[in-house]
Amino acid sequence: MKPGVEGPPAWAERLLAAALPDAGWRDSVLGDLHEEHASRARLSPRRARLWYAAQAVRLSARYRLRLRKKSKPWTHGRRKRGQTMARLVADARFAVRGMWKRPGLAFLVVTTLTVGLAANAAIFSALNALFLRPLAFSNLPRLVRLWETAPGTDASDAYDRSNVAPGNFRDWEAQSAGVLETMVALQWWDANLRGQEVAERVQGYRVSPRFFEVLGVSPQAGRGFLAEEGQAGADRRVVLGHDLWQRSFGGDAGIVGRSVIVDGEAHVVVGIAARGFRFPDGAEIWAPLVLPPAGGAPYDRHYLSAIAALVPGRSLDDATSVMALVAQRLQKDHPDTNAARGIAVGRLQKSYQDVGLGPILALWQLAAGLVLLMACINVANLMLARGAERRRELALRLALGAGRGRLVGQLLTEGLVTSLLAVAASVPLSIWAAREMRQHMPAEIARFVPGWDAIRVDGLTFAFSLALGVMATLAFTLVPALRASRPGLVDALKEGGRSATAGAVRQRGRNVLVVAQVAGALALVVVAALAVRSARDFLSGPQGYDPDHLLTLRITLPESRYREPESRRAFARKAEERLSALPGVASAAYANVLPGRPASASRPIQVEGEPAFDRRNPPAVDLRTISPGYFETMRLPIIAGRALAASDDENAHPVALVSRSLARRYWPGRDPLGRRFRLGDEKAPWITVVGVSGDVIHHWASRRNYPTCYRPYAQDPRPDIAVALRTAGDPEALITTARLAIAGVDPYQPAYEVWSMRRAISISTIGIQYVAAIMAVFGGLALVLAISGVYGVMSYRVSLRTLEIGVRVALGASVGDVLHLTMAQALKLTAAGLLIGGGLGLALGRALSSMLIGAIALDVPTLAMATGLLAATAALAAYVPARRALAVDPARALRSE
Amino acid sequence: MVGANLGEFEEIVLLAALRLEDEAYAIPIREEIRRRARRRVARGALYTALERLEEKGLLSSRMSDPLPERGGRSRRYFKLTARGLAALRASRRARLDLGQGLEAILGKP
Repeated sequence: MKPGVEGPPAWAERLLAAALPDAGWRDSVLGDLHEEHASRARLSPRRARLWYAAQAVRLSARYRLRLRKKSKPWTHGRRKRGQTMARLVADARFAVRGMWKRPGLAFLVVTTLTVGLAANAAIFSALNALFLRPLAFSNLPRLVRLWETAPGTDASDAYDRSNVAPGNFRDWEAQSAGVLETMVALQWWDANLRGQEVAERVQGYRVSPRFFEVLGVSPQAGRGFLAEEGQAGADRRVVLGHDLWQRSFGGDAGIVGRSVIVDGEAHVVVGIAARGFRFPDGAEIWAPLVLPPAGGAPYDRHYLSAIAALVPGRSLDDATSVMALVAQRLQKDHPDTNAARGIAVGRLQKSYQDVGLGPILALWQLAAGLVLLMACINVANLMLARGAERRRELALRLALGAGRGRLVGQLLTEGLVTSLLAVAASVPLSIWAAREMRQHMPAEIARFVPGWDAIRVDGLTFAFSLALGVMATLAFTLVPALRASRPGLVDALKEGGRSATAGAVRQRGRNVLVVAQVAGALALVVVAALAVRSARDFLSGPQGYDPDHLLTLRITLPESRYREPESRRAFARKAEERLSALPGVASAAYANVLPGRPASASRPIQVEGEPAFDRRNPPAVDLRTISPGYFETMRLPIIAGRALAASDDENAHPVALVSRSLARRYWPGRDPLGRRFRLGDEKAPWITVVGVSGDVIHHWASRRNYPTCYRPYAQDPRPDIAVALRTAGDPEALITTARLAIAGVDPYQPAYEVWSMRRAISISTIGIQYVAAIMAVFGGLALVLAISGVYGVMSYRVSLRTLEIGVRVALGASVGDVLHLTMAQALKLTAAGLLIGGGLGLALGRALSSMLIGAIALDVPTLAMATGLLAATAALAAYVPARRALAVDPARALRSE
Repeated sequence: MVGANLGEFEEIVLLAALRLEDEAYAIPIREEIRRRARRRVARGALYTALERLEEKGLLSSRMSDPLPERGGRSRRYFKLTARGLAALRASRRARLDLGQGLEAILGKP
């Protein structure tokens, strides 16, 4: 203790000073107390301090109450409420002063919470934009989507729901009056728009004329479609998307009423869509859909989407039951096409959502919540340590008659001030994080995720943060507050008020925190490692062909100008010739579909000699129609038989190569060469297998080593053409040259998705890359939080035992004994945490891989590394303070306090 | 009438301040009340009363120079104003008048 007469306790002075409203009175009151304290301190400094503290607490309480009466005499009748407010303000001021006094601690606490809150806000902003309100149409609450259901197919994907046959649509429209109104049909449309210079492929939709009306959106300029524009001959009209209008026509308002060339034909622009309207699937151009007349509409071609509005007063359930009756009637009327076909009705918003999105967002939010929980545990630990320091202040106030609730209230207020600071600090961080999330998604993908471009931190997100902040406050303050305000008065007030070893209950509380932190961190690290590993595998693992030095592009030949198979063959051949002649191109080849993109084409397969397949649930294989040089250009190995030759043309016998997986599935243990199969029903020709190729990863989630057959393009010329160029150098250097070469074949024909194969793969794996990146960030945060948290708790615990260690050493314990004692405990706790965390991580990992089909199993090296790191931290956190305690002279340790 | 609403405690505080003359600040006032009136006064109550009496214009105060024994703070010395004195007198007279003839029961004032 310092020599000479000590001043009064600083905290008590601060407490009182904060309560005294008027500067003049503050000086005289504090001075009086100081003076009296000095005279008492000459007799007994200890008693004087106690006395001072008691006076300070009483007086400050008195002044706070008085403050109220004086400043707001009219609130006298509502004193209770005013009092509460005054307390809150005073407590908040006290809290701020307390933080100001200990800036290091305050910074640590606020930073920890900020990170936790920002992580949650960023994820919530995505959840909010993608899940809660991705579509913003004024009619949204009434809008439903309808699609067909059939046994054996699951229309879980938004695209699979574009399966309504025109005949069915006509009947639905006619028979649903009373529950549904303004039913509209939509058809996917790859529009080739001739802009100022080169042709551009734009995502378009052909829609029933009342499309804009049913959604409740109106164009920014011009109008939507008129009913008569849904008739053949009057349908050469388009509405342009806002961005397309800006991009291709420079935002010229005079374009309305003029003609543009779409798919090689003149269309009159009747309107410009409102900015931000890109429904569905990021559409940028809309044209009227001409449906075949009732009676002539087919029932066996399923390609329309159907949207309708519920009649006011009718519910989704009403619509579902009415449509079920309609489906039964159609089954009877059209038994050949509609047997077993049903009708599903779903909310528009929900039915355009990616089904995989919900679980992933939930997983992210869960992980973010876990990070926040760990941040709270860290803060709670700091508060517990701080609470031990403040124990005497609180005990004194308790002894002088302060209610326990009052003290808990004050500590909660202090926590709240901290949380509010953290919420404020988390706003810029979460805005940044949301922007990162939004911008790193390639536009090619983002447009199919309704709401992606709307991810931002808005009022709702802020409110969410605020609510979380309050919850976090409760989480990290309540336990320390209740503990600190527990009446252990005598102990706390005694000068040597620190007991040799903290009570068992207190110990157990901290043990639980350590175990929880280690477990949480390990669980997150395991899941993160899993996701990162899977993403890396899909991105850069073997693909079955050589994806390097490969430039790819797509072309869709419009029906209007390439109606004849011969014209498509000619276009493909010419394009291949031109492209392979380009300098820097080793070879070029084409197919209907290339790997690395979600697009696919599949057919039912009938193997010769096998029973006819079940028509309701046929076995499907992927169909690729390729040019003869395809295998060579792709470097896709041929395992048996031969490649296709130029002579395998439309006049030759139908032939095909099959993938190894197809051969194994349909001719297990037998030589597939020379065998025959059919794609489709009896009308389709028999096809002879001439070779077997290796398997490819077409798409990481749904098409890995999937049975595939390769047919000559010449024998099945489809309008979809995807070209691959094997280049000598950087494939992306040839993008412009390749585009121009295609324009040289047909200036009206745009090439799109001109990407290197590596880029295509990267885009197609963006989903798991996002999962991996976000989980990696969370895993890293959790690990850092756990390490600092475990270190904090362990070292604090050991430092509390300094006295005990002193006694042990004085009684002859060796250094080894003491280290063993402290470290064994640390390691035991860590081990328990690791065990729980490992289990939790494996369970989460399993959940993750069921969400992302094919995510791979446990990553042992990462698991071992995280485990080791956490164990080492705990050991170090026990070792360092134990060493420090050992370095203290035992006699001194015994005397200390 | 001036001083009609002087409370009993206020009267005591004014009396103590009057007795202490130039030494009237909170600590001695409280001590004086304790010794003479044999009454322990809560510190806060005393400050409240002093403040209120000053507001009513019955007391005036001045600050001393900062003093080391007070941690560098000043003393607030109080002095009765003319109104304060008048109020004290009026209150005292009222008591005496009321008590007249009751000496047999109450004892000599």
